[in-house]
Amino acid sequence: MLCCATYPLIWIGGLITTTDAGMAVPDWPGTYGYNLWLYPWSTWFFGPWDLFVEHGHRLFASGVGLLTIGLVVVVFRCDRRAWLRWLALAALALVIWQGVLGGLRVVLNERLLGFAHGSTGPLFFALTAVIVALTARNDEPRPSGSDQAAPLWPWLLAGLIYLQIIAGAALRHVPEASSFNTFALHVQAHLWGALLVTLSVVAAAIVAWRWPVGRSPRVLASLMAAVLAVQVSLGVATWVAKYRLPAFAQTGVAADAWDAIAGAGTMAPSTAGGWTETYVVTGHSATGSLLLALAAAHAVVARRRTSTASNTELSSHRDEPSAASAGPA
Amino acid sequence: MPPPRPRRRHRLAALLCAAAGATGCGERADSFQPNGLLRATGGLTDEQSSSIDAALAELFGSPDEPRLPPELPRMAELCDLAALQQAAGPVASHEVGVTQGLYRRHCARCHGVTGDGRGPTARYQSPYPRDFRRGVFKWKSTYRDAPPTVADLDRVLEHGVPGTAMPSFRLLSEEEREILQQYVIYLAIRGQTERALVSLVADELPAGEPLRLEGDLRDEVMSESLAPIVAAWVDAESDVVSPPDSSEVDDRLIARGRDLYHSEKAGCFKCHGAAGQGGAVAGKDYEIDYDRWTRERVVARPSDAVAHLVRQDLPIRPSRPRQLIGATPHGGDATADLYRRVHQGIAGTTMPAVGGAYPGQPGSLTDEEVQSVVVYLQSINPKESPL
Repeated sequence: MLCCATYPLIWIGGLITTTDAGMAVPDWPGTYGYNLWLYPWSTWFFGPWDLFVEHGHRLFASGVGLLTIGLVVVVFRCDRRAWLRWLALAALALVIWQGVLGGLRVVLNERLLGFAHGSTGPLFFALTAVIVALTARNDEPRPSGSDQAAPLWPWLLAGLIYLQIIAGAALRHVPEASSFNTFALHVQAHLWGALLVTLSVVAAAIVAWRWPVGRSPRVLASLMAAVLAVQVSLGVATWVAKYRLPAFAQTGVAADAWDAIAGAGTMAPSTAGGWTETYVVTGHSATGSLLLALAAAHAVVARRRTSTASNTELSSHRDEPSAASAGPA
Repeated sequence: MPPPRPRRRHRLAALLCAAAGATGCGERADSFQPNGLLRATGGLTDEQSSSIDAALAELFGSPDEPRLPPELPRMAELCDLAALQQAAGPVASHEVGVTQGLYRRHCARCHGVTGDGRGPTARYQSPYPRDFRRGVFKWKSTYRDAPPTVADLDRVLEHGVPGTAMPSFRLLSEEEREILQQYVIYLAIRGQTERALVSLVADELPAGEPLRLEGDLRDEVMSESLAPIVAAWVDAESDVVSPPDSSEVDDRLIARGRDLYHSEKAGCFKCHGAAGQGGAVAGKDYEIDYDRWTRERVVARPSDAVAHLVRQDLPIRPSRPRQLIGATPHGGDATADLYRRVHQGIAGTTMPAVGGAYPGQPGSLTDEEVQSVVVYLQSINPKESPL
């Protein structure tokens, strides 16, 4: 439930960055002097879009914070597995830190804190995905020959995707006074990161389908590949929506391809804050977080499929096996 | 834990600096960027350059606190100080529904805090974002050398520029768009003033003498250099090119336009090709030239300082004659747009005017001939206007 609630929050956060609505409310933790929960709902609901989305983000985030507290309470009351308790505490610490970062970004009006806030959100989402993967029911028979050490590469893949998310967040939060060379550095880092992530996810999918890794890692690797395809498409669409075709693509094959797909002379101006630009760009940001969560879950599942010791440990301290599988995460 | 050794500390500091630089930390928006190339080309010393910065700050304030020169009262006809203050500064909101820092929120990422067309995203855009500092704008209804009208700026803001990264801001309120127009005019006049002051220091003051904008010199600069700049903006409405009433389009008119298009008199085919296919840099089927914003960076024998600044600047791109068939006209393809574009060319670019430079002056084509060329262009590219 926490994991499912976090993903819309990631979307709303991305929406705020896309529409630059982060400063629609000047104070924190309250909203225009009101307690967060007591702000007049009519002003929020029928007021300006910026206020609607920013205050909504705060309300949603506080709900996620409460769910995280609930996770900690349930885990400490119903489960004695030490690692799960630590993970729940880590989630609580991370969500508090994330809230403070968001608040400081507003109070100090500092865009770089927005960058830190935007980088921490996906990390929290991935952590909830890890908790889901670790506490999920695991009735699959382990494939033969899987008694080897847990592979490290799925974690490296998740780390690589997270670095790419950081590069993307840096790109989205470049200060207005930055030079075009700073921005170019971010663009190039993000493009090279995209290439590396693409190759790595494709390799993970190939491994999952060619070797007997089990059903769950295979499903997750396939999902990653599918999400990656969507993500790359959204990345291209994001660029075109915001900056249109770069110089090299305005003539030759790329221009002909555009004319063939969209029709000659159809490059109308985008609408700042319009539906296409807003949701394509936000979708690209949110899909990156989804890819990270899948990669983190994949790494957990791959470890469970190959590590006898961890499987034993996972099941040895549970009070009730079914309680963990239907756990709060 | 022992304290890190000095060398490690240096490495750590270097790493932190690199990380901070990579995220854009340290690049602040609290001052306007000087036009370094202009000053280097004029051979100004650092002291002279600083004196110009001080004069500009005194006249126009800073990106956080704009100001209007009291000696230029007509500027108030163009810019309201309260509006400029709402457009300036960092993005913030102190009242529900009222956004401060509108320019940084909507424009600075491409056009730069200074309005120099060198915002963070500029490098990857084609064409580059407009540099406001010359006061020269392409998509306008006025004569070539006149500034745009407020309505022209509003039109670009509301509809965007097709085929470029300039979006439509139609979702902003009219009031917010008006505030942005005023801030753009403010940045343009500030940039034109900078150019005038650099010219004054480079050409009229003794070598190495800094600018002291006071006394008679101040009065002279205000009345002879800056007041005409402001007056041109205020009076732009009287410089609008009026297309003739639309005459009936028939084959004869189209044929006349086609003949003119392919004639030496109009010379359209030389750049845009016999079939309107446009020019290509690689093919060199037209003379390579540069727009006005780029031309000052193409220097035959630059000094070291100028060469360094040119290297640091956006990559130089030659002007490429537009493809007329199947392309999205940046300035719109309504009849009046095309008429003005053929009549006056495109300000700041290599597209020349074939009409007169001011009302009543004869051009190389008559108004009727211009109209026939427009009709011919519409006949070879029949398309709904995106505007």
